[in-house]
Amino acid sequence: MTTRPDDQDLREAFAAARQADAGWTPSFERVRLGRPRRPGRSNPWRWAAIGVAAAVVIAVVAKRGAEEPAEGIPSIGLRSSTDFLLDVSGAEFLRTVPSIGGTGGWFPMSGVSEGQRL
Amino acid sequence: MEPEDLEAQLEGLHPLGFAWSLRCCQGDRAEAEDVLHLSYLKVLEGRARFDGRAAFKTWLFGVIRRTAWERQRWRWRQATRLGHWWRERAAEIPDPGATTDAGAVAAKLKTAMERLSKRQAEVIHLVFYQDLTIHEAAGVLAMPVGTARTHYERGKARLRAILGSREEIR
Repeated sequence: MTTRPDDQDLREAFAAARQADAGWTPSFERVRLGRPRRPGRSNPWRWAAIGVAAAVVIAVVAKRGAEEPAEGIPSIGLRSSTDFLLDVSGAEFLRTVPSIGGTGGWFPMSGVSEGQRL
Repeated sequence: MEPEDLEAQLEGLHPLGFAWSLRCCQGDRAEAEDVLHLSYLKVLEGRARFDGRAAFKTWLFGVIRRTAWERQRWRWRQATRLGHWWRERAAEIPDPGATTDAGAVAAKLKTAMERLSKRQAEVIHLVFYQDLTIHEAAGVLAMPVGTARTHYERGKARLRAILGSREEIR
């Protein structure tokens, strides 16, 4: 099946369109070799955007590098949506390892000086 | 097929190939040229091989359509990543003007075609502009013949409704 004879009007219209397009078709040779690029078409905003993006990436990487993980606890870099439940007072003690035989800077209770017996 | 034969075939179909590429690129002439160039490279370098199962024209149109789709996907990704506002714009080349009778009809037809759905416009273009059968058009568009026929009938009816009476087309 192609088209019915009563499509002649559309056939004629499209034939006219083909005829009109003929003068605007680039040559075969030009298309085969590739469209010539106009000099100076590269957008300066492109380079500015790439520069800004690179600066942001460098800043983020540098900031992450500066953040040292808590002593003795490996940093895995993941954070669950329920991690805030662990943000309780005194949570810093959970991230430290007490040394045996002394308090050594790990003395949680306020009002009690280091070395004082409870 | 020998490379010289391939090139001769491509050259013979070049005007129709460009028109199809233009349709696949929504009228962007610069993009249509790039798509056709890439399609020719695929064919001439053997990255797309003609196996003789369909007519060469039908097969070539399939290659052009696929290349246009790949380019659109690439451009979409580029736009998504970097923002389309600073993207390189297509060259402003005027369309065929309405300086002749044929030009006036073509301009009217082009406006009407823009109001069809993409699929309808593709099928109508392949059947009426490229003189393919509905079966061949379905092959180019990689869709079932029944679907292509539906797009064809609806597209034709809509095109006539947009253009008004038959006399208005001429």
